[in-house]
Amino acid sequence: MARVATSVAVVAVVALAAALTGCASAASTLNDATGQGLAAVQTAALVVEQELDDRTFPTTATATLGDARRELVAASTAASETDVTASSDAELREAVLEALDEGLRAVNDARDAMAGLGSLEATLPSLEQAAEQLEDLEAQASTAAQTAAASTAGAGAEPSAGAEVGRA
Amino acid sequence: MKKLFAVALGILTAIGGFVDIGDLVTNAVVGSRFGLGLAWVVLVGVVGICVYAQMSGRVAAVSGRATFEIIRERLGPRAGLANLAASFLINLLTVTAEIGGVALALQLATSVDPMWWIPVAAFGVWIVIWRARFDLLENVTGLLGLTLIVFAVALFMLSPDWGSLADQALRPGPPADEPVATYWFYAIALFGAAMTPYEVFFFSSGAIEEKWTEKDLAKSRLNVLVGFPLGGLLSIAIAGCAAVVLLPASIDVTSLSQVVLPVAEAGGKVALSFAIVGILAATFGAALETTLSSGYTLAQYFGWSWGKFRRPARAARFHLAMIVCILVAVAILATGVDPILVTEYSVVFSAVALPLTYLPILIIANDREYMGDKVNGRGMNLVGTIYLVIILVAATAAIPLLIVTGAGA
Repeated sequence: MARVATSVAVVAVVALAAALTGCASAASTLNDATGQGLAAVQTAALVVEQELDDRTFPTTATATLGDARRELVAASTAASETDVTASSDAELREAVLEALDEGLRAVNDARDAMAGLGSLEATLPSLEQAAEQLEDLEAQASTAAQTAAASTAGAGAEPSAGAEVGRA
Repeated sequence: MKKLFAVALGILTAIGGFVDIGDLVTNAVVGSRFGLGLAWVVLVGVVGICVYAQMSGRVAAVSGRATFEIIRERLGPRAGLANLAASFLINLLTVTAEIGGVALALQLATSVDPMWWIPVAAFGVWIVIWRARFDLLENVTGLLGLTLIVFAVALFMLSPDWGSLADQALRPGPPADEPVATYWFYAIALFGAAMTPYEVFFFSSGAIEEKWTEKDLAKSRLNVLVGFPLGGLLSIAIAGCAAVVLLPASIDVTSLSQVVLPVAEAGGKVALSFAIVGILAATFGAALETTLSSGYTLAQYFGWSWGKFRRPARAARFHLAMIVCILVAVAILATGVDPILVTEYSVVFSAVALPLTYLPILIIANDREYMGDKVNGRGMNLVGTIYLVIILVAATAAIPLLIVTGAGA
């Protein structure tokens, strides 16, 4: 009997967790991807500044830029694999993908500059611009995610209200 | 004078040896997301590891037996085996994380892809375990690990707003943009990083390796009670550096290269050199300790001949087990899995497995048959019981929080 109760409890916890993790809205996923991309671009900008000021080793800067690129690729993949059901989410996804792409290009330019191709200093404005864009988009995505979460919670509490929102 | 030197060396190696890849990564992640809002967990974890290590060291010194010998004897072969399986698997995960950490540290110094460094790191760990004396491997890595003090120096050099840092530390709680579940998930991760079970396997087995007796108890108590708290301060300094430099720039830590950014920001190349040497020593030292702990746990449970004080030929299964562990760790890392991800999981599962070894040690530390008049006093039992509750709560909550938060995403 105790075993059955334990099994039921485990299944319930796993189901609840699966429900909680699986119900992330498109805006929430895009918010996470934007945050991940912003962190990577800001990291790249910081290490480029350090390299320009001779405060870090080229090997460390190169490794850091490689890590930033990996994070941007992961963020880009997550954003591009996000399913949307509203046109506003689709627009947000496009904007996020563009900004991540810009950040990725800037980080790649910085990596190239570390290898002697081009100027490292010239990459700093691109990195800062990409960071600004991602910051704006993160704010947008965060607001959209909060709205989506609020409407989901409202739908959970009062199904009819959700239906009204859906009809509207 | 010789005794004083030995005590000082013990304390210094305890400080330098306290921080490993789990502490480095988790503290930096937490600092970059919550500031010093989880510093209290480091304090709780440090007191916990002091209680745990002090009890297991005393048990080893008085009874002459290490943790897993006693666990098997006390719990019986079946329960002991289940305990061994869980503890061994967590330890193996930690070996993997530490070897990956060595490779990442070498990448920072050379920019060569860590995949190339993994076999080199693994070979280095094996050859040192095979050839070096126990005290040598413990002291050299522990002393070199002291260079991580550069994180504390960097924190001062960054001239932070101390009032704001103190406010974060004294008013714990999640920031507005972080869910409560994520906050508690990282609290458990930080607790697991501070109270990693391997530290205790290594500490108690080291007591046998170094032939401790009751006379050495005072020295061991000093090592633990002074060395570990100072190591904990280092952990808080790592979180503080991340809170000052990375948090305002919205940089969530996901790689080791980000952990050293504040140090370079504060002290340039000189400070960065110290940080890289420190990380290399800390991860390499922890890789040695975790690998040895894998051998210790298996050999102690199955009754094999073990110990660095024996020639490898006289402890063949002990050494073979460690070689297999290193190879398995290399195989896991060769799949391309991110060592930082392995680290994050290893600290959480450390918290999950903690009661399995903590509880038997607490019971034996109260058993007069083993301990004679060196059983726990009332105060120690009170603290030990409070920690048992904390450990059980953390172990129970860890996996649900891991799932609900998507591993703290």
